[in-house]
Amino acid sequence: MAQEFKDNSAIVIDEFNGLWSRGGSDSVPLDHFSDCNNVKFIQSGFEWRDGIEPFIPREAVRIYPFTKQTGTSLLILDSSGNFYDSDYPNFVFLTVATATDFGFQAFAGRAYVTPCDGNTGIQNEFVYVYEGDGTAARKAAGFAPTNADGALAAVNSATAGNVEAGIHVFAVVYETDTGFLTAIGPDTLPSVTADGTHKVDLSNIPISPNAYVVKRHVVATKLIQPQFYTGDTRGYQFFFLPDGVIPDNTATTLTVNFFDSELLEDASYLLDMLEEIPAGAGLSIYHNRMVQFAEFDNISQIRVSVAGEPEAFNSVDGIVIFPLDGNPVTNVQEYRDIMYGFKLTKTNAWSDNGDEPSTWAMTVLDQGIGSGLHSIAKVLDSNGVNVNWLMIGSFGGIYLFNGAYQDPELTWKIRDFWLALDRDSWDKIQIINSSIEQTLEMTLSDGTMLHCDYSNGLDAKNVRFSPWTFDPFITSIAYLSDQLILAANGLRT
Amino acid sequence: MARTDQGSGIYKIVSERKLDEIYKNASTGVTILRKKPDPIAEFYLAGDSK
Repeated sequence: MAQEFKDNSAIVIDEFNGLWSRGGSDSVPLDHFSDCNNVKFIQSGFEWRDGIEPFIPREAVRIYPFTKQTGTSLLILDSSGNFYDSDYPNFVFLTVATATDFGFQAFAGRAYVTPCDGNTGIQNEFVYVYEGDGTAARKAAGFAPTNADGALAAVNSATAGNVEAGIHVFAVVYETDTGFLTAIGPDTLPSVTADGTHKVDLSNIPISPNAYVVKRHVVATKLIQPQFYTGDTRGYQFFFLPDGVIPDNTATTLTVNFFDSELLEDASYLLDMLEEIPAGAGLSIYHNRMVQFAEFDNISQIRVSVAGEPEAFNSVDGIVIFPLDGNPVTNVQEYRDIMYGFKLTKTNAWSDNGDEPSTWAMTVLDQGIGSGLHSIAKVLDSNGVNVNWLMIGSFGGIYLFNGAYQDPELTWKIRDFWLALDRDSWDKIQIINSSIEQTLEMTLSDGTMLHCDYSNGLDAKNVRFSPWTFDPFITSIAYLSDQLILAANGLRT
Repeated sequence: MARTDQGSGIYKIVSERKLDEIYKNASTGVTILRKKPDPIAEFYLAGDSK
């Protein structure tokens, strides 16, 4: 029973609803804290937050959980630009000395990483692919065949066959160990005037100098009437030959035979394929396409790969432009079949119309609210949608997003705290969501964290906030097998 | 910003852990435990204060 003091009534507080930071001290409701730190919320109460213990003795500026076919590990970037996989903690699988942050996307059990500085991709750097097996990463995509690899030649064979009478142009495509098909090569493409009764012998088939090339594909055009042939060997549609697969990187000869009606698989999209993918600020996935954004020389550009081919970026029509305003694209997120692109204070949307990305129409969604590089909440170890919402950390607060930003923002009751965050370091704000614990965890640019408990309801009234401070300077967070992991690169002063 | 090697590392949050263990040397067994920064839960009670 509450003790009564003379002339004063007891005030019973039985709900503990966390930090209040909106207006003066006398606006703090009785059930909220005017000051709060290191508090964890429990049923009808609160307690000291849980402690931490060392997990991996490696300083880090960014970590991501990486789900591969053998399990889940952590990808780690340290402050010297060294990349590690926690399954192989002493092996550096990539070094980019100027990288202070990186973007990551898993695809088909591989890790694609893009080194950045928190703002754009590192200049003259590229997207890399790491197999997750403790071997070195390599640049994603690959170089097309060149004349130096082999000056491809084609002649009518002495063997009877049925290559249709007319001019056919031949070319070669490399296939890498990650399934990427390069652009068409070599530089000089041979043509053959077939007579309709013989096969075609190919020789000097290019051999790639790179060990990651494991197959070659021969491509060719259907017959071209001689009177209509322009001599532009790259001006015609190429197709994969049914018998044109060379399952190695050593053979230099092949005899092919085909009817034009058998040429069904178009290879023309490979004509403009990028050989190296410039580094961007981040990577994402939309409709089974890899998405890269904010490269150093094109900060408002979003590159979209061919569907199902994460390294296949067409240099001409695999490009989407976020209207230029001098600020870089900060995030791209798929939500309910729409591709949302963000800058710090803008949000636009694109819809896949089944045609090339350069034809997708843009819809302006919001000209005042956007997102940071890491401030879209992701569920546990996969991206994006949780219980029908995205949670987006914007300058004005953390907003629930379901195609439109919901008012009021989740951070309504800590508005003053949120507005005081350093906007020049918004790339340091990382938000992750645990739908099991019903918490949001956030890193802040001063090495502390903000803990949000929404077990009482995911709305501005019922969420509960508490800053968390640690002696280590927290740089990045992740969930690994349901456990919250914190990365630090020293002590916080 | 970060200052020293101590405190550098990757940590996991452990339920019911009473202290923050921020450094462990596997070969020497040296462990540095820090008391967690104190929890603060301050209530502002409006009204006349006497």
